[in-house]
Amino acid sequence: MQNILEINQLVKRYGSFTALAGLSLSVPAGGIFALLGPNGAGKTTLIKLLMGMLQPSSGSIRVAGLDAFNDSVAVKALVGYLPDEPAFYDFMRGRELIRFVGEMHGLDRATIDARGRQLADRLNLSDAMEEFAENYSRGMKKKLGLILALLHQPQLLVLDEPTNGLDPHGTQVLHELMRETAAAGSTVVFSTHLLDQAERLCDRVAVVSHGRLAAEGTLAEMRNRFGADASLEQLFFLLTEPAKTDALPTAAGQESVPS
Amino acid sequence: MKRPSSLAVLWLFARTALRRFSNRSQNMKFGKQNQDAAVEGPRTATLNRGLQTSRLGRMIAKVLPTMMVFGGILICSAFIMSVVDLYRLQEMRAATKLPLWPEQFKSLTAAAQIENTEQRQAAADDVFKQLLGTETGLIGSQSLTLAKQRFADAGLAGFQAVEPQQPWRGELAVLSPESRTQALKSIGLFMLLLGVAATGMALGLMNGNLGNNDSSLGWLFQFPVSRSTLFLSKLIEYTLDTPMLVFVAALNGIFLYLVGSPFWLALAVSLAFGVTVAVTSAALRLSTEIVLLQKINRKTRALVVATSFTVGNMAGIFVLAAANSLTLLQSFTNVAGRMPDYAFLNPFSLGFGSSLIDRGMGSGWWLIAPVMAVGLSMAAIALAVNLTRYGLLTASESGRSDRPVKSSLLDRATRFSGVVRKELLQLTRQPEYLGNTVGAMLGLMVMLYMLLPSWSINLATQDVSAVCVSVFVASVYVIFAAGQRSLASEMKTLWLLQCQPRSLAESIRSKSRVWGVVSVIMASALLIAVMIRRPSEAGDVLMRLPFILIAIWMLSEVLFGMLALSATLMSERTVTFRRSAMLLPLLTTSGVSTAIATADLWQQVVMFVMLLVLRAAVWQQQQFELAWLSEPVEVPPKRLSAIHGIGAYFGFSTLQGLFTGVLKKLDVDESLQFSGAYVGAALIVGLISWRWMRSHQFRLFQTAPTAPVARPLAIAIGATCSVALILVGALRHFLPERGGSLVFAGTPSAPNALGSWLAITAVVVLLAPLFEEWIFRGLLFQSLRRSYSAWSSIVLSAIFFAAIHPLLSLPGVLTLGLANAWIVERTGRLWPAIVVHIIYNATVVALWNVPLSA
Repeated sequence: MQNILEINQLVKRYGSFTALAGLSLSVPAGGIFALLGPNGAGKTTLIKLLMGMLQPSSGSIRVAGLDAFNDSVAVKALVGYLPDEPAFYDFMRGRELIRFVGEMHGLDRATIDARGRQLADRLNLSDAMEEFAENYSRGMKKKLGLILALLHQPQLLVLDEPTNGLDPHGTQVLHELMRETAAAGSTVVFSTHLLDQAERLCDRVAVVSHGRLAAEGTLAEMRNRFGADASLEQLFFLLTEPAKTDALPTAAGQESVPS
Repeated sequence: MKRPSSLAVLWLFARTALRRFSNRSQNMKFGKQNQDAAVEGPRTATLNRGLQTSRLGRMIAKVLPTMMVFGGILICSAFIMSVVDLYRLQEMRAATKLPLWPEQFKSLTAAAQIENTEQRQAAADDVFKQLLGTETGLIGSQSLTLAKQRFADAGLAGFQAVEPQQPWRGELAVLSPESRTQALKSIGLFMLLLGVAATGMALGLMNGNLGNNDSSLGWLFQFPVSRSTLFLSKLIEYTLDTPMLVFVAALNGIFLYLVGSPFWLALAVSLAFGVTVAVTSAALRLSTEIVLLQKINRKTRALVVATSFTVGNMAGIFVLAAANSLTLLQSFTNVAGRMPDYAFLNPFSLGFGSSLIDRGMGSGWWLIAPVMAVGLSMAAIALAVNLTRYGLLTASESGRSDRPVKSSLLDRATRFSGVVRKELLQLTRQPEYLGNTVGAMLGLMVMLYMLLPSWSINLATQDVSAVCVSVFVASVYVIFAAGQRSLASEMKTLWLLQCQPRSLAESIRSKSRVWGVVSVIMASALLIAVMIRRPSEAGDVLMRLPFILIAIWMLSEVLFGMLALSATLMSERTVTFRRSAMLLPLLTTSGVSTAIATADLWQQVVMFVMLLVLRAAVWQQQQFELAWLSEPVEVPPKRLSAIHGIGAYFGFSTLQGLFTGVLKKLDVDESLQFSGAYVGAALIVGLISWRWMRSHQFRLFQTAPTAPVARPLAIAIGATCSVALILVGALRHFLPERGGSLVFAGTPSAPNALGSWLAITAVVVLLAPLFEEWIFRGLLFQSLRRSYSAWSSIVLSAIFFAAIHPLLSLPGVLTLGLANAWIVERTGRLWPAIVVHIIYNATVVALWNVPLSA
């Protein structure tokens, strides 16, 4: 199977600060892929590079065989992206925004309206469709951003901290939508630091720490490598902060881990 | 997957920009169509409920900016006329034979034939008035005097007929080529300044919110659209976002028409010019957005945006001031004359002022504008694409730099020194605020520099009143700019925290006082500098100095107060100020400027009283409304305040003037003009104020309804009538001819027919008392009374009432105002006051018309 995402020795520096230091990663097409890592590990930078919004300092990042920066227009047609804090034109109503984005992707109006309405109904947002985006709460903005990202049925759906600010119902629908997207043959890549969520949803996991890939594989593979009955949480600590792992309870004392 | 063509994306963006325009004007915060969504969304705090509820308010809010634009166009075309007139005047002074148009020379020749000296002079005056009388300004009147003098001295021999030079038209056609070049240079510089003003303001308005990026720029990067298309679209969006386009286009059209282009050509070129300016400012804005997004942190960004806004504002103010002040105009033409030829080949001047335009008039020079527009667009896109060569963010994502931290100074803010220190902290921590203030100071210095003798012609032609007015206006501007910035942050903070240590009105008041002190110090420094430079006119300045300083001090409170009242918190980041709330302070500012210019003591007293009452009223309204901001109540309380009373009076006098003008144009008899205008204006204002009272649950007759009426009534009638007797007696004795017109200013003094006499008398004796009592005792006094003690309210309303009457009737109207306010206070009813007023007016009219037996 061809890899939808192929990252090779990716380096990104901001001035003297190095956000990504030679990260390599391949994501096979199909399924749900979680990008884990502590705050400031470089997840959002990675996603921005993937979206062609930044140019790599060195190395390459390819989406479905296309270079993310040089062929960014073609790449963006394949990708749907939900940023951590979605920003829209504040002077447009929800319905207008959906139509605008749909047209930016070259969809016809009937399709846009049908998909938009269906997604809005599922996310409980149809009542707010006539409201200005500026008046949306954070969670509503997130829902709207999700609709916009799914509108053109992307081959690769990239979600940056998708559950931030979502209500329980929204989170549930989000998970359904992610599973449906994956079932339809597309790939979902999402970054999170909510480990239970990752554990429940994803087929494969990558842990990023200090701009490098700490580990990558299916959950089963990870467990094989680091200990048979380790929770994802313990794996996470092990991989991101090895020095402090001693202080943590061992796998045997798993029940007593404070959550 | 199918991707949209570039053309489709461009069309999409253009539509989006238009929608932005329509949605903005719908006042989107209030356009909530869904209440469920409203509950989840952030609570919107606004004081402008008049704006959301009443259709009239919404209409005014829409019409007002348009009116301001057209007012600006009028002022600018006046400037163009004045520049040409100034050169005309200089040529006339130098010429041995004054140049006249052929047909005017013909009529002057005919006038010179008249035997009778007086008649001859009158006929010549008519000719000159036709020639120069359209301009009522200083330059026009000087030209007129010069021509009259020349005719009296030398007769027809002092004049010559000059054929207008094609293709120029109007005054430009009779100027000598040298003067015309100079005039064109001034106009070129003027257009440059105007363009800078438009661009600076457009830059300053980016995103309406200093320090934050245009977030949609990053968002748009997610779509499968090439960068050049994206930036072209963004350019279109920014271009359509610049309403200045209409302004500059219309201005340029007027100018071209004045100097002689055919109408359609003028229209076409003016539109092209408008597009150039709009595209230039949009291109600058786009590049600035990208550069700032990429490289510079929030503070620098805020500084850049605020500074450009202030520079734009100052350029605009300078342009407006230059059109009104002879001194500034002369300095302006002087500076323009020294500028090199190539300096006018910029996108704003479009070549006006360079020798190209004089040589190439009529040979395709108008292509400059569209070519520049296209060129600039291409350059902007190339620049934007180039700037984003390495992605949208290059150096660092420093957008989240440290936000200003509110210190514990708020705890101590009740003390004046605490407030001063807070302002200083704000200055150092909020660069947008600093940029604005520093920019305003710089602009002031430039203005003063232009006034200095080294730049302008000799001292004798400068007039000191213009200098004083300039200093005053500049100080008001500083207060205004400071108020906008500091209040925006104050409102945001206090609103978000909802824990102000004392009432918002109080903190705004002390803020305004700080800035009042700063502006007063600055203005006195400037005026002292003027006195030192021009010792011969120090007396003139000194005579105006106290009034200027007092007016600045009081206006700072009025301006800050009105700004606070007009503030709307759109979201937790954005505060906007309603422009229509500035109407009353602006009217007062222009009144004060007139008083400064004329140095008329009575006018100064009147303006002082107006400011005093306005200040009290604003303070009252603030106490009513600002308290609501910190209360978790859905709808702010509706309170009628003294501002409504003052507003009603200003509205009435404006309408009265308007109607009189219309009736005059219709050639109606003078007495009917007076009574018709009075009745019409009183009816409209009366009805509107009646509706105010109803919608604000304001009842006129609510205090002490059982109080006896007879004794107060008798006292009031006795007092007012005895004053009237003494006043009219004295006036008839000392000023037998002029007294009547001085007491009843605006009233036709000698009605010739019985009908017109009756009409005037009915208005003066019946309608005026009814209406004036309604406004001054009903609205003004009673609303003041809600916040102030009985005696302060009585005195404030009475001096306001006296100030709007002519000086000579002062003793009478002051007594009347005091007595009537007192009687309303005592009895709690309005009708006794009306009765007193009727009797007083009737007594004055009767006494004036009684034939003297002696």
